[in-house]
Order: sequence, then C-alpha cells, then structure tokens
Amino acid sequence: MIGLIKNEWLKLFNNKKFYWFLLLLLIIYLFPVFMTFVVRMSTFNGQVYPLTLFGVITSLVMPLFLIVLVAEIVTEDYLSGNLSLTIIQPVTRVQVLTAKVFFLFQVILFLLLLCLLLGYGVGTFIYGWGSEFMLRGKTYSQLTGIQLTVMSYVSASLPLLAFSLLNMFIAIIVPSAAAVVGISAGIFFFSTIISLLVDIGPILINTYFNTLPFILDYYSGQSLAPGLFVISFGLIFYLLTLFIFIRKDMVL
Amino acid sequence: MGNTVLEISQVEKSFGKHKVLHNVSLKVVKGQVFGFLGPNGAGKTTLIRVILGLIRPDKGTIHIDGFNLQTNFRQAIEHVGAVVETPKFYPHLSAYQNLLLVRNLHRNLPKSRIPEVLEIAGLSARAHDKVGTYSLGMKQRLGIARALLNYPKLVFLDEPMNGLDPQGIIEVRSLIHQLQHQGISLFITSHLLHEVEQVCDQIAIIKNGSILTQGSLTELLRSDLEVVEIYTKDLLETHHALADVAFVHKCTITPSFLLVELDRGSTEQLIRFLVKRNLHLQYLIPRKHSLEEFFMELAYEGSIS
Repeated sequence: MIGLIKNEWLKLFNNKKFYWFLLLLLIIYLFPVFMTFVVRMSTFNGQVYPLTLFGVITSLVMPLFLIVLVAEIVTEDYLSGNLSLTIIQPVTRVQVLTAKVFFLFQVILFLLLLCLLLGYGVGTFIYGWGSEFMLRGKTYSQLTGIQLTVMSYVSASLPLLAFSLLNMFIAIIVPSAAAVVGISAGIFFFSTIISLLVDIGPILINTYFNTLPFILDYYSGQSLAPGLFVISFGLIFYLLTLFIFIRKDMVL
Repeated sequence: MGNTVLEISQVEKSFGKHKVLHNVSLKVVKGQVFGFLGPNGAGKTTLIRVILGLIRPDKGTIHIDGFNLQTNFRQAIEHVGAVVETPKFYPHLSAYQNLLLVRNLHRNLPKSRIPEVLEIAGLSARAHDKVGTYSLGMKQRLGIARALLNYPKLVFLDEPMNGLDPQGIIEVRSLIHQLQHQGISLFITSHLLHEVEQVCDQIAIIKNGSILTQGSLTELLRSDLEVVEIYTKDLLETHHALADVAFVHKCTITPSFLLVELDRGSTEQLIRFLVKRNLHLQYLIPRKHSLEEFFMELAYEGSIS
C-alpha cells in the first residue's frame, strides 16, 4: 500500500498542473495584500490573516482542484490503461482504491497546511503579528486564536475528503475525464446555489467545507453531529466506489 | 502441476448477451514459448485480460505457477510480466520513473533491477528522457523491459513486434530465445505468423471465443501428405505420366511447375520414377506446410477461397 501511495506522489510531483495550482494559491494569498495597497486600508494582522482567506480556499479553490485531481487519478488513469498496469501487479483492488483515498487525504492535508503557513507567513510579513486575535467582533487570546485557526484548517480536510470520495464515485462510473469534471463541478455549483435558496444546508457536503463555524460551535459546547455526517457521507461513497471497482472489467 | 506455469480450465466470459470466451482450456509449461493465434475479435486479448485478473471470468479457473488466480491473486501474479496491446506509460515521466512505479509495487525488488532491464531493452542511453518523446518501437521495447522487471516466470506479449523495424524484430526474436533459455515461459499473440513460427514451440488457435486447436507446432504442421513443386521442360508429359501413379494423390499444372501431392516419404520414389521415364527433371522443391496456411485453413475455413 505504501508503494501505491508513493507512486501517486511521484506522479503528482511530476505533473505541471500541480505547480500551477501552488502558484495560484500564492496569488490568492497575496491578493488581499495587493488590495490593501490599492484601497490603502488594512484591518489585518498576522494572527487573523490565515482565517481571512480560509472560506475561499476551502469552499471554492480546493474543491475545484480536487475535482480535477480525482478525474486525473481515477478516470484518466483508467482510460490511459495505466490503472490496468497497476492492477496486474501483486496488489489487490481494495489496496489500489484505498491507497488513492489515503493519497487524496495526504494531498488535502498538505495543501491545507501549506495554506496555513502561507497565511501566517504572508500576513505576518506584511502586517506584523499584531496584538490581538479578533474574530467576528469577539477577542480571543493569542493561543486560542492559533488553536482555532489550526483546527479549522486541519478539520477542513475531512469534508474535503468526503467530497473527493463523491467525485471518486462519479469518476469510477463515468468513462470520460472531461465529463467527470463537468458533472462534479455541476453538482458542486448546483448544491452551492441551492443551499442559498433552500434551507437544506445540513444535508449538503458543501456546507461543511468552511469548518470555522463548526469549530466555534464546538468551542461553545455544541454536538459532534456535523463531524458524524461528514464521516458517514465519505464512508458511503468510499464503499459504493469500492463495490463497483472490485467488479469492474478493465477493458482498457 | 509441477512443470505447468499456466493452466486455464473451462473459462467462459460474456459481455452482456455476447459470449466472448467459450469453455477455454490451455496449459503452458515451464520454458515454453506459446503462440496464441486468432483473427481479430476472436477473444485473444480478452483471454489475456482474464488471465491477468483484469476481467472476471463467468466460469472456470486459472492457475499461475500453481496458485489459483481468483483466491491467491497476489501470489499468482507475483512473477508474471505482461505487455497487453500497445504498452501504456505516463508520457510526462521518464522511462526510469515509469519502471520505478512498477518496482514500488513489488516487495524485495531492488532498484538496481531497473537499469538492468533498461540495458536488456537497449534503452539505457534514454533512461531519463520522458517517454512522451519515445518512438513506438522504443515504447514497445520499454514495455518488454517493464514486463521483465519482476524476474517473471511467465511473460505475456501481446503483439510484441508491433511498431518495430526489421532490426527491432530481430532483436525481440533473439530476446525471446534468450528468455526461453533462462526457463521463462512466454505467451505470445501476433499477427506475424512467420514470426510465431520462428519463436513458438506450442500454439493454440482461437476463433469466436473457442479454441479450435492446440498442440506442438511440429505436430500440428505435420501432414499425411507431402507437397512438392516439380520444375521440368516437359510439363504436360510429366503431368500425364503422373496421372496413374499410386502414391501421387494430386497433380496440378501451373505456368512454371507442377504441384504434386504425394504420400509422406514418397519423394525419393517420385524422383526415381521421373528419371526412369526419362522425363527432363530440372529441379524439385519440397513445399513445407506453413503456419500461415494452417492458420488460414483453420481460422478462415469456408470464408476464403
């Protein structure tokens, strides 16, 4: 299984798209700085800067990147015949699929931690660390501020992974990478819009990408129900994908 | 089972209502080069995919090196190498990296094996170039290198000569002989029947998903009759003379020679007969029953003239 995960990283690090995405992340994190100089107004400091961009990163940028990544590591891999090559090695199909899930989880965590460091780095370098951590009109201690920020970033990995598992399910049944991206992006945008119009947020995975409100709720003693929903959502799509993948005839 | 590296027993497979493999049974023993022939769409690649675990059979069993593929997949596939159809690679990775992807999936396979197989395939100089820049022939050779990476006992080569220039074909042919001498069994499909004839010692012919025949090439090509071409200035006279000879079954006149079918072992007798009758015999060419003829007779029986 470790060999399978290593292979996914080897492929990712040799993929130009990945480096373009990293560049995009840097641009996104520099964008507010640029705006500060344009409008000559700044309410940031290094402590709050990472959370300023957290919503955009987890609710828009990361899901779109993951849609493309899943289409590439599942559908594209199958269509190019390379998935078949993996399957004829001494590894089981369960291991092949599970390794892809672990890889996705590692990529998500890696990118989120990179964003976190980028946020702290850019924010502190430009605005200084600052004297207080103020969030939604409330002041927290510096330590609590760091805890809230780190927990928000790290916990976002779970809903993003659950969303990737939905994409993986689509990727295993749709025989075209472009169609997988189209369908997954369609579902993503449609559920984002529908959640604004109808009050069905709790049953949409998009609702959970921005984990900050849930972390704040958890801090004020709320239940772990959102976490259970996210885990169940991911597990269902993992099992469905596995069920199809094990039975799939690899004709390419 | 001892010497058998591959045993396929009563394998059947359907895609929807279309049955693509009917009760297929085959056996390949150690060090054997097994030619698997059939017209397009006969089920050759499907059977290879079934053997490699890419397609699930509806019925039947497959044993590789004594391990049941369905119940002991990892052990069964551990020492199998394969090039199925056109070998596929990640074009943005180098040849070395593409082989590293396979090496990473085998326990106890040293990294030093990668340059070894690249050397065998004659690709050492281009090992770190992206595969996207390779010609079809180089990809074919890299595919063979990849199939040899895990010290295989059984190698599947699906159309291994595809895309190779004459020099490449000679190299692959010699590589096949080399591997056979090392005790590696090869399972080869090819449309180049004269190539199969040169490298294989056993063959099976499949048509519409059923095995039409299988056995040793020498046995299958052996016939009860011998065929010879007789070159003579007296075509008509010779034809007339052979009409009533007991051991001659058929004599056909062509513009430049007589094509004669006679009892096996009667060629010497035929020469003596012609000399005795003072017929002007220039020379005589024994005609070998080729695999190509055998294949055409069997696979296209009744469909071509």
